[in-house]
Amino acid sequence: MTNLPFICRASSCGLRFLVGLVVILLTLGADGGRVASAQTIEDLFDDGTVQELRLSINERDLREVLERYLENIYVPADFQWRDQRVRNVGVRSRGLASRSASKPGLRIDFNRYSAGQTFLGLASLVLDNLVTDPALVRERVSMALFKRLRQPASRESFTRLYINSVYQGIYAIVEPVDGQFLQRAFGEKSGYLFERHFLHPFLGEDLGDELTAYRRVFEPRNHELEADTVLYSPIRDLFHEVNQPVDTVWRERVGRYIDLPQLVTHVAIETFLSEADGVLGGAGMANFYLYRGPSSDQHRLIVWDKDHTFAAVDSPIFLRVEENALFSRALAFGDLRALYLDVLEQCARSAAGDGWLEAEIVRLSALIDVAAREDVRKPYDDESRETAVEFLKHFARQRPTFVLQEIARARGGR
Amino acid sequence: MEFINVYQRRGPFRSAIVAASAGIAAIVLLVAMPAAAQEAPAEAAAPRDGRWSVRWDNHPEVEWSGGLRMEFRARLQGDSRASRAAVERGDGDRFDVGRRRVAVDGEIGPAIDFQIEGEIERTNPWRDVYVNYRPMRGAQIQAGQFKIPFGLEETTSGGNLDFIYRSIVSTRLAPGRDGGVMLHGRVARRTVGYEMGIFAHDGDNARPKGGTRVFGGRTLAGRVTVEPFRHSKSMMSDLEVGVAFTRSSLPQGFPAVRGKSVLGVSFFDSDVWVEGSRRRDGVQVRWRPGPFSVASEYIRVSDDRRGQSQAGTDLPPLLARGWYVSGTWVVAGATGAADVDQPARPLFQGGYGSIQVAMRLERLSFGSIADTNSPSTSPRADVVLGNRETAMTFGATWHLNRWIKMEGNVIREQIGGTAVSPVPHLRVWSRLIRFQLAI
Repeated sequence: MTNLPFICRASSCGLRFLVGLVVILLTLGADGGRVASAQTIEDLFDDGTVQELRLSINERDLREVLERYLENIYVPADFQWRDQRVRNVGVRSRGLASRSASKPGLRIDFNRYSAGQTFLGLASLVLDNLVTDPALVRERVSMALFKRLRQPASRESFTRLYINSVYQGIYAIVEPVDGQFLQRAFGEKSGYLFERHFLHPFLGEDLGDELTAYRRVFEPRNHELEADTVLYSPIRDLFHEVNQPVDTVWRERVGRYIDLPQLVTHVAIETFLSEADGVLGGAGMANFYLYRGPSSDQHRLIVWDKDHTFAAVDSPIFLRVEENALFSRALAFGDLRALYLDVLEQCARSAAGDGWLEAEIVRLSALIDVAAREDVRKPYDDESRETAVEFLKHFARQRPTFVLQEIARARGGR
Repeated sequence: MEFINVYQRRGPFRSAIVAASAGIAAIVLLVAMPAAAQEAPAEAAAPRDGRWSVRWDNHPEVEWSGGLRMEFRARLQGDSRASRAAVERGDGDRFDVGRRRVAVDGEIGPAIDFQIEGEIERTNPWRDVYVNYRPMRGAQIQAGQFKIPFGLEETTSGGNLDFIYRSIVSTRLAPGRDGGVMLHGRVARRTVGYEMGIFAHDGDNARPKGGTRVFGGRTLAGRVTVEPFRHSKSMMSDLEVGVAFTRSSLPQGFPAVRGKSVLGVSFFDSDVWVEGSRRRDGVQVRWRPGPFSVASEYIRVSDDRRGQSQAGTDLPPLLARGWYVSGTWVVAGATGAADVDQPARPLFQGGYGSIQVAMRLERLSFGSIADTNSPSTSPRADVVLGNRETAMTFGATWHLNRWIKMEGNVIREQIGGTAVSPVPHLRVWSRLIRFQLAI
């Protein structure tokens, strides 16, 4: 009996020990779960983090990619983000004006050599080398504004890129516009996706009955094996109808082939951002995807590549509108013109409200500051970057006011 | 039924008429010619001035009593094919007079023999061009261009094959011809044969038809064959087994040894970086008891991939492996499988020739050693996602006489494993007909 209290105490201690052990294990388990769940696609595109991506490429292949950077030559690589490693991915040089031998833009296809292989559900990733933007943040800030205006846009984050353990510089990880993007943005991916393929300027003119003429303008990104009549007849019909006389029939017929309010919204955002290389770009229509849903002839635009925004604070809101056959005719309709001005106003107020646009520029510039300074492959020096960032901040402060004045003038002039 | 007679795709009447006419005319002419020629030697073989003689036994021969003998040979082949598969050989879907070869071989004095063989109308016409010096049976030296001593079927003359085409393992993995020097002979009362040589490269089968693919450099090759029961009187006396190898250096690049089907459908492109050395190993066995024959080979080609990983480290070798097992049965007209091409009673000479039926099962596969990693089509994959072909051939050969034969083969090919596999997949029947005149 005398030992009973001792036994009870021992039992109590043992119970406490077991409870403590369970708590520790649960804590560790929860922590383990947190680590595991941290590596999600949301974390990859966490806009408050500079990621670190590592590629392992055979030196011979790397030489070939750099020497033949103007070609789309795929080479195999091993890809690593945090503790996630994807083996045998396909890597190639990418871009148009941004192609570079010293700091190549890259496309990574996880399923190039291993059918069905994905990374966090992604079949591919784009690594934007940011070489056409001295400030390095134009693309990110522009995409953010598209998202604020509820337009689907690629998710992005910054990353340090290492190839064979050598720092290549600061890059933007860009979610490609592909099946996964379509599924996320529209809830389905079975429609027809085309990328504006820039070989020659295109201003929305009628290219005639030959479908191959449109194949040169819009490159299919899915359904590639289907006949041109299936792929391109609706696009040919779109630009045929666009170039007919503007009347109520025009609106109905063109509206059958393109979502006109969405087009106007897309262009208005680009215009606010003073996009030099967009739908109303200086070299014709550029940097967008066309998507046509399943069992529909109607297309919509998807934004792409915004490295040339922030061109000028005082860029007119109707700049180059008259040069574009589609957009100039669309704005002939009062409701679409009003929508255009409304979206521009939304952009201006969204950008200026709480100083969001400037704050975003400042935040992102600070986020990448160290990585950018250590990037010796960027074609601009640090002083140029600081000057460019200052200009962007100036743009963020002044552009809303200028655009609102232009809107008022446009509305007053109606 | 998967057959699609390709004649029917391009004008059924024209192609069929051309093929049939050519075949019938050739058969009638060529059956008659050698029969007449066979009777000629008695008159032609009379020695001239006691120094020259001309005769025609198996082949036309000229002999000079001062120590020169020359034998002239020629071979003409015509093929007809029908297949649903894309066809690489010849013109694919037409009647194709595929091979016109001429050769001279002979002896100079008691210790030197030679052969010169060429193919008419080819970019590179020379085939076997060599001299053989035989001071003794157990040690001979051969120099020139000839077949590297590797592969039972590959080193068998094309005119003496049991099937229209060699097995894919022989065609794709055995080295073929190259320039070199070889020591060879038969020892131990001729029960053991050996061949050991050094060659400029690893054979024309391994060489690309064009482009920049790589192939073996200087090649050491050797083969030992044994007929352990050669001097017995049993059915086993004809049994021959052998082992062979080649060793070559291999520069960096994609190899030219690729997976192609019997009719040339590519099923593994070998878009894999290799560098280091190439090792070929083979085992062969042949046995011809009476009217039956059995032959089999296994060949393995291993290409190093030194420094070819993403990180520059070595990768497991790229492997190509294949085997075949074939059997024949002389149904009628000859005493045994070894002399089926010498019918006892030729057509138009009191008989109908000889008839042999045959069957062959074969497989050729490409890939690498499997491990826990997932296979990939990456050119630097540690585990290469390979592919394979399995083929079964049924054949019948009618030797009208010692010079003419007609063959028919039906081939069932299966490429790949499953239809959903990311590698090429095909199941197809093909039928082939060949007539051959060899004098």
